[in-house]
Amino acid sequence: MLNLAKNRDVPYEPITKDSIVFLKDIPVGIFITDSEGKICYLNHFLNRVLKSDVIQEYLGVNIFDNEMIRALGLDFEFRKTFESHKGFSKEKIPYRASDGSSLFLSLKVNPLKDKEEKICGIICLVEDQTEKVNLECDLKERVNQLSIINEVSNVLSTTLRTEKIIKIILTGVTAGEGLGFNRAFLLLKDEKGDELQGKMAVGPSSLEEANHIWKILSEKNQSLKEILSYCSDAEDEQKEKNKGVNRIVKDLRIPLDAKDNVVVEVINGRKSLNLNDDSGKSLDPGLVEILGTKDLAVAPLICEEKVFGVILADNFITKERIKDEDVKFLQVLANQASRAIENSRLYGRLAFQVEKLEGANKSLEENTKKMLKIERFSTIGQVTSQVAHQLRNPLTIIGGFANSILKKTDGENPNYKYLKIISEESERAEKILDQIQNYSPSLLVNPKKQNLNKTVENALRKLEDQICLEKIEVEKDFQKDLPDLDLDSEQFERALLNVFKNAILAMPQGGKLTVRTFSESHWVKLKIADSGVGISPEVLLRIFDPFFTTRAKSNGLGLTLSQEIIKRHNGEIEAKSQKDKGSVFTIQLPLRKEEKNA
Amino acid sequence: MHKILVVDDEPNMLELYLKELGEEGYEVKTVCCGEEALKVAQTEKFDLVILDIKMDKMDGLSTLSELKKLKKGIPVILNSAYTTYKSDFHSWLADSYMVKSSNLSELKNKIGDLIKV
Repeated sequence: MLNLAKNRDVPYEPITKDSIVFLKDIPVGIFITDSEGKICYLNHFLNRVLKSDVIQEYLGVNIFDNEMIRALGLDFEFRKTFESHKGFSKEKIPYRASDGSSLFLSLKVNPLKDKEEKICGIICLVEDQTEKVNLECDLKERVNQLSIINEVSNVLSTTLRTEKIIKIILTGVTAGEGLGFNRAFLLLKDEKGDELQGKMAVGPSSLEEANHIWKILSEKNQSLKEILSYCSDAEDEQKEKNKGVNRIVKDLRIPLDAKDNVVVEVINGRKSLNLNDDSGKSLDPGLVEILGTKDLAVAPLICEEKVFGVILADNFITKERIKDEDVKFLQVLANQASRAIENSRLYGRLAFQVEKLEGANKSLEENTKKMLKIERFSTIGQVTSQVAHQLRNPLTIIGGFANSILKKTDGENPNYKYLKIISEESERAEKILDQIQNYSPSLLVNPKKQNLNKTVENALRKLEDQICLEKIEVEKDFQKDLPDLDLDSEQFERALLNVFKNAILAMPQGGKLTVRTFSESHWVKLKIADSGVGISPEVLLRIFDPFFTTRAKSNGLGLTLSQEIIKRHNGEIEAKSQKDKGSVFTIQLPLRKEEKNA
Repeated sequence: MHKILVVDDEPNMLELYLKELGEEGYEVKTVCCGEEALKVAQTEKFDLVILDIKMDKMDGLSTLSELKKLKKGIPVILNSAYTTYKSDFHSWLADSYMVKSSNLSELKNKIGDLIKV
């Protein structure tokens, strides 16, 4: 039957019976034509592939004359095979079977050649790949959905502001490349948990608006990613656009105890719902009036087993039927939204805690700084005090012997001068030690009831010579009835001497020293102002630091000691200064308890 | 001639006092620790003691209280490189507290005052 060489004059070895058996058993539809294109063999599997039981009737049909083959544009391909001697394959050929079902076929066509390499027919393998194509479509859909979720969560990760998050989610629900719903509304439970309140909506409110928005969007040809990032950037503009729907959303209020309300049912059932004609459920008439539609996709927002809101989405403008798949996918997006909103709420709480913590940290830092300063001073104090003691013995011995020899040395003696130098320098070194030892942290004050005016007078008297020498005018303005204080006058005088000396040194060309005492609320204050060169702001910050000095001959302990003594009297000292105008040191000391009560 | 005991663990310091006070006309005995001081105080009579505080083994303040038990009424000048012991009440037993200085005139004046009394 299949002697294809029949039409040819050349000797030909026909396909044997074995070959036929072999072709019969291949689970693929097969047909073979002769050199004219007439179908001369069909296997029984082709019936199954094409879902037809009349395939045998195609025997003898010429493939170039068949209408269906021509409609599929395959006659051209077959002809090419005859001419070029080359086979071809074609995938996903749509085919409507006689039972009405839509199939996708694949064809693999190869020429059959005789011994002289001339075409004596073609063999065609037909496979049903409908399932494969559908799977591919599904897969594509899934990938698309996943990529939407991915896009949405990527954009979500850029913000923790609840408002922005909601907007991003709703945009994902409505963007053409996203879920493609016309409108989306978000409702959240109020604080008491009594009702759902509309918070935000995205989408057009009328056909005109829809056409306008969609035209702009299609002109811009933006990807979902771009639309999402745009929605999180240009919020105000977006707000404008959604004016209409946002007006609707404000009216959306659903009491959670409402009976026969599908939205409440969704909340209680925690399962998304496609409200269309098939669902057998209908939307509350009040809501239908507000929304202007009966068909709605409803997805609950659930976090940690609790429903805290709901997303409503519809195709209000296009009236397109809502697919169950889209509702399922809406739920996936709703879950994303839930997580993001919850994160944002947590972040809000966290931010509050962080703020509190930051405050605590700041004060801790300040305290640590203070502690370190105290620690540093106390360490410096201890070390210097130790060093001072260690030095005093050898200094006493050196200076003592120098003095001893000096007494017996004639002024004419060439060594006299040098001995005098040793003696004087030892004395100077000892004075430095005095000051360091006075700075010692164990310095105790022994306060007695005293008048500050008297102590100030005493200190000034001690400096009389120097004040006169430097041509300094002293103006005293003492409050006559100044309340008595608890003062260790000896130590306090030392503190004042350092401040006065500082003022005198600031006026090398002479000047005016103003000393004023007065009481103010619970304090007695002493202001010491000079008309000297002033102190630069950088130096002013450090003048009370130990060993800080701008003068070559100073040890940088004078004002540190003053501050220490004043602190031990529970007082304070502060300095203000203006370049070339002078400095003001203000010392304030607390009133005695009796005076305070009086 | 008044006899003074000087207690200090610095040999050079003792040397200085020996010379200076000797030139002032005092008989000066020097020892280098508290134990030694108590020992000599039992066998010899002194008109005044100059006592260093910070010394190895027995310090000046312990020596002071032992000395005052042993020889009631003996004038003692605490002579230290430290100012801080002034606030230690053990030092109040002493008749005077002087911080060491290369200028010995103040110390000499004090010795004069205490011995006269």
